[in-house]
Amino acid sequence: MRRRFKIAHNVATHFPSLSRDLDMNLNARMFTEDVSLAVMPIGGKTDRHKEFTVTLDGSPDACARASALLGEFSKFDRRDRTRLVCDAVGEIAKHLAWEGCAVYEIVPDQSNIVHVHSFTSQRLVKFSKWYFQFIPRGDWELWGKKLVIIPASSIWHIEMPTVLGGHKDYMTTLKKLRRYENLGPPFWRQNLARGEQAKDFDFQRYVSSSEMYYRQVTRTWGWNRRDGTQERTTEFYYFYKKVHFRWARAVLREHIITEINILFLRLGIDCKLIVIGLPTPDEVEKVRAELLSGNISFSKAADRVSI
Amino acid sequence: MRVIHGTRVTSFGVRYSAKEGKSNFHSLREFINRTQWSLFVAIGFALLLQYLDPSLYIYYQKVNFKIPDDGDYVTLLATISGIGGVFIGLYYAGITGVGSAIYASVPNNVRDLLTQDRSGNVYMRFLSFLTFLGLALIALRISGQPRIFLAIPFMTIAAGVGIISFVNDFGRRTFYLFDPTSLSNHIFEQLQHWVGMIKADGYQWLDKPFQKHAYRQASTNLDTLETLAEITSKGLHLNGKPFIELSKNLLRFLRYYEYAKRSIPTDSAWYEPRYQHHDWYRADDTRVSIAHQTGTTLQPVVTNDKEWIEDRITPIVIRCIEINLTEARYAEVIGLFGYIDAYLKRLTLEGGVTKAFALIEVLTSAVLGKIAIEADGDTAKPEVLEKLAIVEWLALIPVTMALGYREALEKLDRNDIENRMSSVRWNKESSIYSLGFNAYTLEQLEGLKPRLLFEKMVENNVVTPLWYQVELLCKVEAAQLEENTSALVLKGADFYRASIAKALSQNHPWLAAAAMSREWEYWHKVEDQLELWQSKWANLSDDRRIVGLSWSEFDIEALRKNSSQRQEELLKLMSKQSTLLALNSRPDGFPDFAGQFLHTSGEVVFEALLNNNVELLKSVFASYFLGCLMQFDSHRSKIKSVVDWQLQQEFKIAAAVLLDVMCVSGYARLLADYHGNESLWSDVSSVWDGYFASKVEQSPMPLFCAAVTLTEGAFEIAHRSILRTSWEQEINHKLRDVPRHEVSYRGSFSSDTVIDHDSALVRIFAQDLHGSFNDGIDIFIVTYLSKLEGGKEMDFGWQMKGLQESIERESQKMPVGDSNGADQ
Repeated sequence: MRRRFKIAHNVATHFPSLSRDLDMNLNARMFTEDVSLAVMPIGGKTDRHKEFTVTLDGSPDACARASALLGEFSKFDRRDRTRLVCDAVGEIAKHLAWEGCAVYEIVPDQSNIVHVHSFTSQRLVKFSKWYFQFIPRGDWELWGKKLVIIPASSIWHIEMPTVLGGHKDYMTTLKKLRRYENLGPPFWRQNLARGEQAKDFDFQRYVSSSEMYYRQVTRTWGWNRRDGTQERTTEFYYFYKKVHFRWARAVLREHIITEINILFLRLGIDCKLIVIGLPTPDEVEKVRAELLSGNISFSKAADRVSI
Repeated sequence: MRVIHGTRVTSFGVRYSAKEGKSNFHSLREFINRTQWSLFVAIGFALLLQYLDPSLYIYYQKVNFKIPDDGDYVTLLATISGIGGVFIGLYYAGITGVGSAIYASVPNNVRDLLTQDRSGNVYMRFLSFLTFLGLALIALRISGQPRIFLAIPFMTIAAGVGIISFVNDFGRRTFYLFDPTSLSNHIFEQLQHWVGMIKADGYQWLDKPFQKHAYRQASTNLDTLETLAEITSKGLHLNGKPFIELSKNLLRFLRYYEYAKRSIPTDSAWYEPRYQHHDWYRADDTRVSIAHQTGTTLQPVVTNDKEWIEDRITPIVIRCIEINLTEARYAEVIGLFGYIDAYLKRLTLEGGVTKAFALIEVLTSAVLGKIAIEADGDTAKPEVLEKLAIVEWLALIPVTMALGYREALEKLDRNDIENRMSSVRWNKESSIYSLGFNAYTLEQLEGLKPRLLFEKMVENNVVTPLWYQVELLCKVEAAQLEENTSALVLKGADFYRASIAKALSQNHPWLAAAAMSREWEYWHKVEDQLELWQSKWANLSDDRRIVGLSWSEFDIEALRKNSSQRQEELLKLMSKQSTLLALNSRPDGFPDFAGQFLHTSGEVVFEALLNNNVELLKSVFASYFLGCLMQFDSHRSKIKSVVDWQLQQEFKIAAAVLLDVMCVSGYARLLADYHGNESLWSDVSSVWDGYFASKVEQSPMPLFCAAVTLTEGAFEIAHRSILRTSWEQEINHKLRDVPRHEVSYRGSFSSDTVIDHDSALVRIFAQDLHGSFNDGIDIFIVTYLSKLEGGKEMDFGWQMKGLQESIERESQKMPVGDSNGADQ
C-alpha cells in the first residue's frame, strides 16, 4: 500500500557528501547488483516453480496490517499480495547488498498506523538502547543538525545473515572488490595510452590473478563475476558457482523473510509471512551434491535452482 | 723537404709497426687465453703427481720399484712427448687430406662438422695433454724437484693408449671421414640433446627463451642435415649406402621424437610459431575493452606447427629412396623400409594413423613412380624380384599399422585413464607429461590444468570432480579413435586402391598382385579388430554424464560396410587378376599369386552362394571357372613321371582344382533351391554350358569322370578335400535353419523329422543334422553332368547313384503343406 501523506522522520536518510567518496568500481557494483537480483521472482511471477505461493497467515485484520507494513518496504504500489511481498523482499535485499545491512525508522502516524522509513546506515552507531547518527560536516546544512539520537525501539535493523559472513565480512568483501581495477593498474594504462609497453608487466597474468582474486573474495557467495566464457574455469565449475550463488541468495531470502516475521511480532502484528515453492537452501544443497556426483545435468541443475 | 718527407716516412713506419705489434700482441694474448686452461690442467696434474709421489715411496719399496737415473727419466718423458707430437701431426695431416678432397667445396655448416667430431676432438685433447705433461714433468725435474716415480707408469700407459687408439681407431677413422654422413652422429646427438631439454623436467623446459633457443639450435642442425643430404644425394658414391644410413638415422630419430612429443608442452616455443587472430565478438570482455580503449587491434594468439621436424626430415628420406630406386639399389631400399615400418608403427602407437597414411601415400607415389614405370606394349614385362619385394614391403606397412593400432587400442581403458587422472598433481608442472598420456590428449590436459589450479586457488581445493575430468579426456580419446578407425578403413582402402590402380595402369600385374595379396591380409587384420573398436568406443563413451558435450560420431556399421565393400571390390580384382597371371609364366622366386587369388576366388564364390549374393557370384564365377581350368592345364602339363602310381598321384593333385569348381557348382544348385533364387544356379550353369558348347569336338566329360573316380574311389584323404569339407560343414550349418517338424506314426513310438522345404535336394541335405554322405561334387554330377550328352554313360561311382535314388524318392513325396497328414 502506497503512502498518501508525508511522514515526519527524525533521521537523515542519506549523506550526499559521502556518496562522492564512493567510487564506481565495476566489480563492486556488479556484485551488489547480482546479490540482490532475483532473490524473489521478479514481479511475483515464475514459470519454473508452479507451486510458488505467498501467504499471510493470521486474522484478516492482522493480515491487512502486515500487508500495509510490507507496502512500506515496497517501491511500487502493489495490489497483488505476491507481487507486494516479492517487491518488499527485493527492496530489503537491495539495501543489504549495498550496505551489508538495512536500517528502517519505525514511525507511527496519528492513527497509530506504523510506517517504516529506510535510511542510510552510514555513521550510525548503536550504543545501549540508542542509535546515534553522526551527520557529516558537508551535510549539516542539508539536514540542519549534527547528530540524531533515536531509541533502538524505533529502528528496525537487519544485517546480512551470519552464514554469509554477516555485515562486517560483507563490507570487507565490498572493500576488497574495490581494491583493484580489472583493466590493469593505472601506471600500465597510462603507459599504454602513451604507446609504451611495460616490459616486466604481464597483463594476461594480471587479469588471471585479478579474476582469481575476485572469486576468492566472494567465495562465500559463489559469485562468478558474470563470466560465462569459461576461459579460466571448467564448465562444471561455472555451474557449480552458479548453483552456489543461488544457494547464497536462497539463504538471504529466507533470512529476510524470517526477519520480517520477527518484525511483525515486534510490532504486535499476529501474522506470519509464508513463502513456499521456491528452492530452499537445503534443496539447493541437494542439487549441488547431485551435480558433484554427476547425477544431474548442468542445465537441469541450473533450472532447478533458478527462480 | 726530403728530410721532412723522410721523417714522415719513418714516423709512419714506426706507427704502423707499433700498430701491427699491438694487433699481434692482442692475438698472442687471445691465443694464450684460449690455451691457459689446458696449460693449467697439465701443470696442475704434474704438481699433483709431484705432491703425491713422496707418500707412495713406501709402496714402491714393497714392490721393489726402482727409480731410473736422471738421464733415463728425462729421456723417457721426452720420447713420450715426441710420440704425442708425431701423432698430433699425423692426425691433422690425415684430416687435412680428407678436408681438401671432400670438404673443400662444401658449405660451412657441413665443414664445421669436421671440427665438431667428438671422438677426434677428445683424442687430440688427450694427445696434447700427454705431450705437454711430459714437458712439464721434465721442467719440474730440471728446476730441481725430485723425480716422480708415479709419472713413469702413468705416462707409459697413457702413451700406450694414444698409440693403440691411433692404430685401431683414429688412423682408420680418417678414411671414414671421406663419407660426410659419418659425421652426422654429432648432429643427431645435438638434436636429441635439444629435444631432451624441452621435454618435461628438462633443464628450464618451461622457459620460453630456452625453448626458443632449443628450437633455433635444432633448426640449425636440420639445416646442416639438409645440406648434408643434398651433398650426399649428388655424390655418385655417396648416394648409396651412406645416404641410406643417414636416412636410417633420421628415421630412428623420428621414432624417438614421436614418443618424446608426449612430454613436450603443446604451447612450447620449440614448435614453430603460427599466428591465429581472434573474432571480435567471441573474444572475452577484457581483451575487447583494452583493444577498444587503446585503439589497438586484438592481439593474435600464437599457435604452433607441431610437425615442423617431420616436415623437414621426411622429404630427405623420400629423396633417398627415389635416388636409390633410380640407381636400382633395391636391397638398400628394402633395408630402409624396415626403419620406415618401425617409425610408422610408432606413429600409429601414438595415435597418428591419419598422419602415417599421409606419409605412406607420398612414399608410395615416389616408389611406384620409380619402379612401376609404364611398360612398353600391352604385354606385361617380367619383374625384378626385388621390385616385387619393395611393393610387398610397402603394401605391408598398413598391416603393421593396423597391428600397431590394435596394440595401442588394447591398452586404452577408461579405468586406466581414471587412475592416471587421479594421480595427476595439478600444481606440479611436469605431472601431466609424466603419466604416459598420448600427445594428442595434452591439449585437453593443459586446458584443464590452469582451470583446476584456478579452482584450487579460489576454493582451496579442486571442485571439478574426477568423473568430469575423465569424461573430457575420454572424449578426446574417442575422437581420436573415430579418426584413426576411419583412417584405417577409408584411407587404407584409398591407399591400396591407388597403388593397385597405378601398377595396373602401368602394366605391372605382378606388382599389382603383390599389393592385392597384402591388401587381403590387411583387411583380415582390420576385420579382426572391428569388435575391439566397438567395445573400446563403448568403454570410453558409455558413461556420459555431461549433457550436451559434443562427442564424435562413431558409426561402426558404416565402417564395416566400407570395409566389406572394399573387400568385395578387391576380390573381384583378385579373381580377374588370377586369370591374367595364369596366362603369364611365373618367374622363379615369385610367390604364386595366381594360385592364391584362385583359391580366394573359390572361397568368395562359396561365400556369395551362402549369402545369396548374385552380383558378386556373377562377377567372380566366370573368372574362377576359367582360372581353375587353366590351373589344371598348367599342372597337367608339368606331369612328367613315368611310374604309374606317381603319375596317378600327380594327376590327382592337378585334378583337385577341377573337383573344387565342381563342388562349388554343386552347392550352387543346392543353395539356389535353399534361397529360392534360381539365378544362383543359372549363373553357374550358363558358364558350364558355354564351356561344354565350346568343346563339342572333344568332350571333356571323360576328364571330369577320371578326376572324380580316381580321387573319390581311392581310400585316402584327397588333395584339398579338407578345404572342401569346410564348405560342407558350412552348408550343414546353413541348412539347420530350414524349418522342420516331427512326425509320429500311428501305433508306433518312433517319430521322423520332416523338412519343410519345397526342394527335394534341400530336404535330403537338411535331413541329417550331422551332414550328408554326399557333397557338392555329387550334386553337380547328378543334377548337371549326368544329364549332359555323354554324361549318362559315365560311371561316376556308387555315391552318385545313391544320391540320384534319394532325389527321385524324395521328389515323389507329397508337398510340404500336406506332410503333416502322416500322423493322422
